[in-house]
Amino acid sequence: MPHYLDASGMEPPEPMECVLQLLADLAAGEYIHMYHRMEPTPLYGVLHRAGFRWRTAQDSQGMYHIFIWRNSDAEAEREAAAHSTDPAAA
Amino acid sequence: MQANLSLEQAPPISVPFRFFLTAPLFGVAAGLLILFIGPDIFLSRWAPATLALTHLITLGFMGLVMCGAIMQMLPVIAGAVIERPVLNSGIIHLVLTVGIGALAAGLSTSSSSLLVVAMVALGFGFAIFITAVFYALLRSPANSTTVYGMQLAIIALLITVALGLLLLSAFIWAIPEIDISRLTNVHLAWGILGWVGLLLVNAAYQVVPMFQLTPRYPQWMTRRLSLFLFGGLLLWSGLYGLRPFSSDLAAHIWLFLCLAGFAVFAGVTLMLQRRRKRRTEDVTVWFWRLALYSVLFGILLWSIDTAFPSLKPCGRLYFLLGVCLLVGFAASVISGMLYKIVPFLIWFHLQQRRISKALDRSVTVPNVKRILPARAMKRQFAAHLCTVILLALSTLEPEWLTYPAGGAMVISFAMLWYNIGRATWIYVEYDRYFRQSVDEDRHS
Repeated sequence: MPHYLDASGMEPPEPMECVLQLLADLAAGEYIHMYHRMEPTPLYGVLHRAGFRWRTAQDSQGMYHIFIWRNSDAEAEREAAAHSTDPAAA
Repeated sequence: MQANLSLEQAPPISVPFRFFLTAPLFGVAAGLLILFIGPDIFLSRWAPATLALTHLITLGFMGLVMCGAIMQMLPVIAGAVIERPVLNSGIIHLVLTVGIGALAAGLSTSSSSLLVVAMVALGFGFAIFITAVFYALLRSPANSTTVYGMQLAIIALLITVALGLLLLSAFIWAIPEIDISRLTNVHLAWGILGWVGLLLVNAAYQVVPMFQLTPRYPQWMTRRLSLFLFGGLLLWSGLYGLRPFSSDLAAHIWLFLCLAGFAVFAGVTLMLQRRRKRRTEDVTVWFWRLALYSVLFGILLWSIDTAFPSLKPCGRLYFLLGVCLLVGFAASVISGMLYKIVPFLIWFHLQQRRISKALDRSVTVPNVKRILPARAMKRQFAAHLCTVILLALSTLEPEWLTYPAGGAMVISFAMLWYNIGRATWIYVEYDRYFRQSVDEDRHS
């Protein structure tokens, strides 16, 4: 199940603050779908250190969709991967 | 698409901050020099003390901040890693600081030995910096327009430094073959329009949409403007500086086209800022607006002066132009950028430390608005605005206004230094607090 985070109107580091709050409560099988105007490269290092994985896709409008799940959560990874192929619909 | 771990390659916070914390002190020194010399600082642009003042601002304040920002930005936006960042930045920072100090002191006191020290130190410091950055950029996996623009800015810095060292040697050893007047104009054009201009334009492509929530810059601009400006400057230098080919009219036309390019950049940035997504009060936008209106005013001044040379207002136009471009434009943009980058980097490094030490949720990282409160930035903006206005007016009325302008400059840069220093202190305190929390967890 996705937690949707629209970060398109947020100023750095608000998107990362919100993601980190969501990550702390992420249950098994859940993932985060983050919607952003820019690719949040600083976030990736933090996710890597905190034990999360991610997949980034760009839609036809140039907006970024970042899907984040726990390292060992195969179910969340499967769902996130399925949605990331058509990010705008997700 | 799986993105690369850009920020994993980011240097330790000490790398950019040693530059950010030193730079405003050179701004304070520039203000003190104005107070010490008085109205005579505006007698002639060739006066040694005036040259010292210019270089305290360009090399001391602007140069150091930009060196620190590049060392921070390269790994993040270009994936370009500078080898041994702590050691390299430590050497570059130390040597440049000594070189800038020696240059200002040597020019102010006409001491040849200090100027030789400055020449060696600045030559050595910039050689390491340019080599390290260019080597990192050449190996960069990224192929963005920003990387391309930064490469052009670094080449512009190389040209500026080479011409600067040549001028310095002509100044020390009085080499008659060198046309100091023309070479100085080429040196300052490459410094202000090439190095500073190209770097700020390319940084703006990233920073303005990201931090001020504006739409992105149009692609025709991000793809072509840097190359146009660089090519224009190159052509202008040939037409203006190379004797057999020189043609003043053609040179003026090319320089005008370059300046028109910067005017278009300023106009587009102002339009983008009007279309900000979130219309909350943002002091950094004030800094940017002051900068962009200053550069537009500066371009207007230069155009009027070039088109109607008989209108020269008391021969002081160069000073007014210098105030507009150096303090009104460059120092304002750099301050505005610092106020976004400094709290963000502190917050980000603290967040990384919190995560790497696996601290629980009760241990929190302070909000960026606490790290650098808006009220402190607003006060400093007011002091900076006063400095720009008083400096601009003192070029026309030096007897009355030079001292207030120098005083305002000292206060403004001291406030900037205090704001950055206070934010850094918050980082130091939280870092200590995180370490103590880890120790307590281990003992419990």
